[in-house]
Amino acid sequence: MNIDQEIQKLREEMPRPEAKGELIRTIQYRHQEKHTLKTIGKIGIPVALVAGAAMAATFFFAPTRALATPATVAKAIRSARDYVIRSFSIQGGKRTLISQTNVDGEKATRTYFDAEGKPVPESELPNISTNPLEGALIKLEGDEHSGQKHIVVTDSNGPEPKAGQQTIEVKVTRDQNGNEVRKYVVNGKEVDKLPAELEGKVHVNQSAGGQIEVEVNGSKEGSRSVTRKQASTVMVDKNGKITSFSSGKTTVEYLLKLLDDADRWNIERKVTFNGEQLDKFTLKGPFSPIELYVDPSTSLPKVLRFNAPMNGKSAAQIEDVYEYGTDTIPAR
Amino acid sequence: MILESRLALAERTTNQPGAPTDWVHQHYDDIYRFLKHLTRHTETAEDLAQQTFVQACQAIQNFRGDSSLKTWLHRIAFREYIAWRRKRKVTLPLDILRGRRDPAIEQVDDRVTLLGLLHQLPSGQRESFLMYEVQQLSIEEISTVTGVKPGTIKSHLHYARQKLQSLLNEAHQENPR
Repeated sequence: MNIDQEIQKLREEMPRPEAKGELIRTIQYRHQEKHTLKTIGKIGIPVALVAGAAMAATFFFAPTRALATPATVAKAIRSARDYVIRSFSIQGGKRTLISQTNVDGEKATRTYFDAEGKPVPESELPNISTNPLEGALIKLEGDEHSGQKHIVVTDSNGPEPKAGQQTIEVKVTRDQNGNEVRKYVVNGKEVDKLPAELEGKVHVNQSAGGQIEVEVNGSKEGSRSVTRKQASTVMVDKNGKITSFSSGKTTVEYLLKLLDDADRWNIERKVTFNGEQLDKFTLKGPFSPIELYVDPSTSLPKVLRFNAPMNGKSAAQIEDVYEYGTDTIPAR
Repeated sequence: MILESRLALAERTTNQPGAPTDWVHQHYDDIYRFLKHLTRHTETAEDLAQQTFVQACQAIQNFRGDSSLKTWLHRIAFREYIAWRRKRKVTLPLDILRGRRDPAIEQVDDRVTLLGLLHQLPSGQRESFLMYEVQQLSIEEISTVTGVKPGTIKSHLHYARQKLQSLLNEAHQENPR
């Protein structure tokens, strides 16, 4: 072995090409918006919600001429056939395209864009299925906290911001047989098993042992930004099943689930949005992390906007814009 | 650094949205490489590199400009690494450790590599060697990054080279090819 040559090899080692773009997105997001969250995991792309929004947006079965309601919107979503959803981050008045999803029937194709706006094929993204899912299944609430490693997640059970905060520390040791032993520190108390109420909502994948501190900003915007990759934070359903962002269907179900509960929504009629008269759907409560703009004549979603609350006001946004193909035009 | 320069630095780094991303463009490869060689774990290196830059953005007001940005970022990265190293320590009986590999360490090549040999050295020697030879920091910069006196770093480098050569010789004797 030639030491000088080996040193030169070490000097030439490079990171993944995508890693820099992911970090830049994170920093831009934090820096420009002065976001209160401490970290936004590793990803950058609000994939899961994007997918859900996408499906939600497009499917659309021509509703009647009756006023758009959560039920008619849900029906439209379920009936939609082809559409394109473009997902933008809005920071400091600047809109940046972060992904585009083309849906044709059951097939959805999504392309991500890096910080420079160059398309990143999904095939080049780290495959979440290659990551061992060894994290804790936890439900997280709260606004923010600081720590060694932050993963912004959100309660998959609903989009409303919730008060309080929850810090989960995962301690990994090994028993005499070399088997991994996990203990969780919940609110300062070490337990062998997560409390039942914390299970089954959000999966936090721990890559290398040590401590995970999770910060939750009850905003869906925050969770969108955290969906994948090394420090994998993925949303799961009640049964702990991962909501794969490759299909996005589970996220659609997530949105549909919200729509299925009509009592959760406020509706403003004929709100002017981008020059159009649309129906604005928001969730009841002091702050709605979702704004859904619906075409009143078709009940088709036009724009789904996710707001990150900051001191009770909107601080950052992800905006999914839907464009429908001819197959989606409702037969009326 | 005079006040005006510090103000200019603060303005340059905090008021221009592009500035922090410029840091990433300029220094990410270096910082990632540094952390990758220290941890030998890709995901951990990326995690720590991200934390390094996020912390740098948050702490820019504390950057006095006494050292270069590169050195400052290395210092933050080194602290992140130390914190990670402390947290991941586990205590295992020797008979369990024998013949086992920590699964948290991926891509550890069984072949004789410089990095593999470096990780047989004491941490101070290994870290000094990596910073001096691979990261190409000066003795003074390494001192700033680690908080260790320059004389001690020189000593670390001396012993690191000596032990590396010794380990290399052993490896060649065991496997002449």
